[in-house]
Amino acid sequence: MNPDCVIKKKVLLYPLWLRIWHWSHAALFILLLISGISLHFANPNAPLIPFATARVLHNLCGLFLSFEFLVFVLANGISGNVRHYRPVMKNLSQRLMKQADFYARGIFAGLSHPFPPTWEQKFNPLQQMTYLTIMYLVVPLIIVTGFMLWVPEWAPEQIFGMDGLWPAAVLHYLVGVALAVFFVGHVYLVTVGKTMTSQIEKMLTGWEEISTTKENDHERR
Amino acid sequence: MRADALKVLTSRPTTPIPHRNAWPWARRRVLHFRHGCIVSIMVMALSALAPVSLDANTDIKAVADENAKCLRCHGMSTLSYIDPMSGKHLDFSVDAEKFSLSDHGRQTCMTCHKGNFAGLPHQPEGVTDHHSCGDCHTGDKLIQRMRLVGITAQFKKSVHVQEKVAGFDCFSCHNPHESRLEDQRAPEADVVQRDNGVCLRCHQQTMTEVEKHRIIPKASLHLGAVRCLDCHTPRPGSVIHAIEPAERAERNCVACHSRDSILLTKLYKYRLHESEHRAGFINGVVLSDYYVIGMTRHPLLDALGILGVGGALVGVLFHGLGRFIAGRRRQSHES
Repeated sequence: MNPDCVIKKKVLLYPLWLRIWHWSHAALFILLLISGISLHFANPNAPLIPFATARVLHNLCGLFLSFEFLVFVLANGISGNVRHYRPVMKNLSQRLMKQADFYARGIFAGLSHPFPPTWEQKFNPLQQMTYLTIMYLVVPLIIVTGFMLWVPEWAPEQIFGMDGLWPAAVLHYLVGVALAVFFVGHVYLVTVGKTMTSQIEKMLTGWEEISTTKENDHERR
Repeated sequence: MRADALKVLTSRPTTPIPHRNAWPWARRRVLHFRHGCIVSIMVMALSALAPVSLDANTDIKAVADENAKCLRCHGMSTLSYIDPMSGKHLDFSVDAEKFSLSDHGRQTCMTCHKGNFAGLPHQPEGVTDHHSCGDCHTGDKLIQRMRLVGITAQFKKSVHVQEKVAGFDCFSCHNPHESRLEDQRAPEADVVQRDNGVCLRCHQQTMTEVEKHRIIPKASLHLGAVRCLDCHTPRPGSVIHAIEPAERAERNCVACHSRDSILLTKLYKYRLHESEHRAGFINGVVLSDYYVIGMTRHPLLDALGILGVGGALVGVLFHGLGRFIAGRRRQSHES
């Protein structure tokens, strides 16, 4: 990209359906996290949410989240937003290292982001690989294991001489932990934009300032 | 003479006293005697441990022969009728095989059943036995050994006694012809099916059990996984004979779905100490039958979860702090 030809312009990188999905998904995730903790670490003396309430809440939110996941997969494919999730394998490890190095050192030195968002690729390599894994592997896994716990008849009767439900339960718990860790990192990285709130603003309005060239600048609002 | 006498008295015997190692046969005898004593004590102890002690002369074959006279008719599964007066189904059959394997299988029928059984069919007025468990199970030691302590007191608090259910006694639930103490250690699925079957013998009315238990999520799964007694008796679990009315049944989910689940003092009481930790899981004894949310937990996985999320929080906190300090320094340099 020739710097002389680069222009900055605001484009609608996060359409309305994506923003609705994102915020409702976030709300469901928080409710699932709190109710999940209440169920797994159930304690009669110190309940986070009463067990019976947590069960209903967890089941309902899980059902909505599953529905939302299907909507996301369909809409992502139809709208073309899926292009941001297609990994470019060329020099992937170098690009990942470059982004990691930015988070580890460059960000403290006030350097600019090594992979600014473009119309073709709004995620940096680390974001892309993380979101790809989360949305197309981890979330389906937690949905499948969640359904097995909700309808135990779907789980195998026995595995290794033990009740067939326990691998699903253990996997559900571990994946839940991984998602909770992701959630912490995701919320924190909201603050690493140009300003502390710029990332939230773009997810609320949908508009993002991108770098593009005059040649590529066609009809992208 | 005196010198000769003295010589005789002080002289060593011509045959030297053998060293103790030189008498292996004597040692063996002592050992045999000791072993014999130990074995005898063990036999006596074991015989004392039998649910009801037998006379030494009791001949098992003689008991079997004696009982065969009764079982010739009572061994038929069809020996029952509907009492025209009460309308109740009266079952007089005894499963001979189950009886022979039961804790009472070495007793003659007449040990418990008294009366005149000479005529056939037996006349009701000839049958005089109104025996109860306490007729034989007496004595502090026996009661302690059979874990019968406090059962009478619990039983008196039971809703069946409080509500004065006609004819309700030990035998309403416990079949003396089939009961075996070792059945308490059967797989939980079998225990649940057997024990709930006892309750359902009387409690199967117009409304099904699942409909009655609509308050419980996935009622049919719960009813197949736990005993009626586990919820319908007070805490702690050692008072399972004090069956409570339905309105006082356990309704708190966390009573079972927590690390200190009441199931560990009730349904899993007898197996808890066999394998408290299986594959590292707390309450892992349950793992082979059911995974109970909130109850079956792994300390390592719990620690992993807390460390993972806690580590992420601490990590972003330090990263944010570092960015803040670095930003302030840059600002001061620029100014």
